[in-house]
Amino acid sequence: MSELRLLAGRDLAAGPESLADHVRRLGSLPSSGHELIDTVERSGLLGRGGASFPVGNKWRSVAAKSRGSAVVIVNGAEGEPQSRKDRLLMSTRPHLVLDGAILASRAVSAKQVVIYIGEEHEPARVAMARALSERPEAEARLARVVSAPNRYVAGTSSAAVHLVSDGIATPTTTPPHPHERGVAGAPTLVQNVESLAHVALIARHGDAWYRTAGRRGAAGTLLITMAGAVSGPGVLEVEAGTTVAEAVAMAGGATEPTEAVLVGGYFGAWVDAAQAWELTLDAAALRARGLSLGCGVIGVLPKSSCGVCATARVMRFLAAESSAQCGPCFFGLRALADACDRVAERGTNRDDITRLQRWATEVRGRGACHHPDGAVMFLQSALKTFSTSFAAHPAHWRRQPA
Amino acid sequence: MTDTVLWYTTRGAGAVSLVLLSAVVVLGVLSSLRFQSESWPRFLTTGLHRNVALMTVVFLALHIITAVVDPFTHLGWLPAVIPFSSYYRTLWLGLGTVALDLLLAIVVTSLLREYIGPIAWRAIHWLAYGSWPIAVIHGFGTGTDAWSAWLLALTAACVVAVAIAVGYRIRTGSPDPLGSARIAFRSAANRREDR
Amino acid sequence: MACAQCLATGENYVLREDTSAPGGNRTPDLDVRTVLLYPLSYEGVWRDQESLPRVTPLSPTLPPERGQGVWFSAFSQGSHRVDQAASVRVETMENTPNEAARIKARDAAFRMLNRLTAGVAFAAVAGVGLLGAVSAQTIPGVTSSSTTSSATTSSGVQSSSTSVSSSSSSGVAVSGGS
Repeated sequence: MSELRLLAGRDLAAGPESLADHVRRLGSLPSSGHELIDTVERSGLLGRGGASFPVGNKWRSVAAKSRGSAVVIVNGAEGEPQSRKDRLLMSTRPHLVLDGAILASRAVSAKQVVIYIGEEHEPARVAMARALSERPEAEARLARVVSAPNRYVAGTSSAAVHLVSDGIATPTTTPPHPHERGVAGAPTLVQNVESLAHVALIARHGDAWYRTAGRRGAAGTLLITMAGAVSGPGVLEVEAGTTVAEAVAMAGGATEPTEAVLVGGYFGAWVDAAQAWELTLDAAALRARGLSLGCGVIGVLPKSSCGVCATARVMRFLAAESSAQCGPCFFGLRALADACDRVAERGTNRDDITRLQRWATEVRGRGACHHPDGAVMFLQSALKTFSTSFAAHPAHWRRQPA
Repeated sequence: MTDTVLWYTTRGAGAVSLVLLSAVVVLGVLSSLRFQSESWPRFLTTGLHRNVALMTVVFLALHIITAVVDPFTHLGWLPAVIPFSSYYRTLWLGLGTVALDLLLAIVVTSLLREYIGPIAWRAIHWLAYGSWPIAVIHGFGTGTDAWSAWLLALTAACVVAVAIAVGYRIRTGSPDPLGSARIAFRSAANRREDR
Repeated sequence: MACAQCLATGENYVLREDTSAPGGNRTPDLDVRTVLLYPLSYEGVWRDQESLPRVTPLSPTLPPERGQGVWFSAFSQGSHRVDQAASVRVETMENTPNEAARIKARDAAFRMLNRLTAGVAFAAVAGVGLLGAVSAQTIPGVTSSSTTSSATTSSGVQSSSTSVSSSSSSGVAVSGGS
């Protein structure tokens, strides 16, 4: 790619960029108000929290309902275990994120900015707190850092709102959505840190500039986390529309023959390697194929790894992360995880395969939030991609000698 | 001659209906408590609840038909469904009609549960707690021999059975299989300063 | 035959009792569904497949730690060898012995339901007759010669309504009016 955007500047290993360096590199924070919403809309920027929802649309909804009381939540919870991009941005380019947050608060007439950072991301929290203290008083006064509990669902928009409002990070039923009624009943904009970082650049360089990057009809750049059997796993900034094969090459290539690729993290989908290479990292293109970019995690599973076992472990994780607010999720995901474990440990059996197929369709749509849906879609992609492995998985146990 | 048969049948069927209705209420409470054992799955309780409820309707029909057809009461069919519209024992018989109307609402909505949804169904089902006591009072007020020993004993037994079941239900509350897991999650997902 | 990758890393995830479903079914019968019950049923792990021999895992259990990749480490051991003989055709739905036992239990419960229903119905019909007869005994003002219901209270010659009304009028007097 021609030039980095979000990750441009000095070496990422050097730690957080100071306000002075940030201003020297990019210029001071542009003054803007509501008109920034038009610019962001024209840029076509999509949210990077997992839903790929148009950022401009979201801002417009909040601004329409805001009467000066809106709240901006900067979502840096990053509960997805494999994702590293948000904490990298916060710990190395905190002022990009803060710029975006301040600009958002002016665009939607918010008086409060809550920076919601996962409690387990210590360097990110320290960097953001220090960066906040470097800002001018007028900006620093608006914002505060709040710790997100280290739970997968705590990064959900409604859970973030719930924690800030009532002190518990459990997802709530929507509607009402945060942009209608959020923190203390006020319209709330919950935006991922990467999305806000993009806004900070768009406000300076314009929407047309944003669209100069991108391949194969997609626009802009995005951060992905390459994980698994690649030489250089970690966060990459790539142009939207880059293929998975190109991204893996950028990460140093696969270390061994690849079995499958996990596109979109634990709420994403397994794709057979042969089909995965040509997939483009573009939210619209992926959606057209029934996939989703999610939080940008691309996991490479080598042939030497077992897809069934990997799926079982992720299902166990997701089941344990249920907030226990509704039966279908809490009991359903546990039952599915148990069935996966049995297939993984004791070997394939007819009963469990049937259960996996049937219960997966029954759990879908019955939860109070979307946690079980994400888990079930992940499982269904595994059943499809690893169908031969699921049909003939050997047992893990060996008989003890008498 | 047949009139007295009708009359005794009305009273017999009325008493039996009261016993059956009390059994239905007790079985309903047991259903909500989700009782089960190795040999007694939960569908047995709910199945029995449903079957006995339908039987109650049958015996109530017998009770009502024999009462209406009985020429002595000059009832006509209207008071069977419109409360307090009879000249004969307006109040007490009217209460019986009220209890019947509530019961019919419960039965019909239960049979059509798929179409009305669980929330509406549950709301109407709670009318059971209204239908049963009204039926008991109707029995006391309408029966010519309401204070005779056998009926008193029967009614007392029914009232005690329902009282025990409902009292137990109130005390134990509905079992919440998610309770402890939810509490554990909430304490892990608290605001950090609160910990 | 074991999953080579899991053996190599020791990350095989043994079924722990605390992670499995609580013992016993919420609904013993997979196929019976009412709106009252959760549509999912599952067995406690150890109750299922009791025919499998109890074997010990090869290495200590390592639960996945939150925040760490559960499988993203490179493995270079030999790949999974799929034993064709062990493969199972999952499309067929023959009953395993376990399923057969569950079906038997369900049928037994259904028979119990039918028996109880029939019993209650029979008792109810008998009750109408019995209580009707008892109530005939206890109507105030009836002569002691009354035994069965109909013949006793009618005075025969008069119209039945009159006879009923005559006995009920005394009843009215006793019970305090209609």
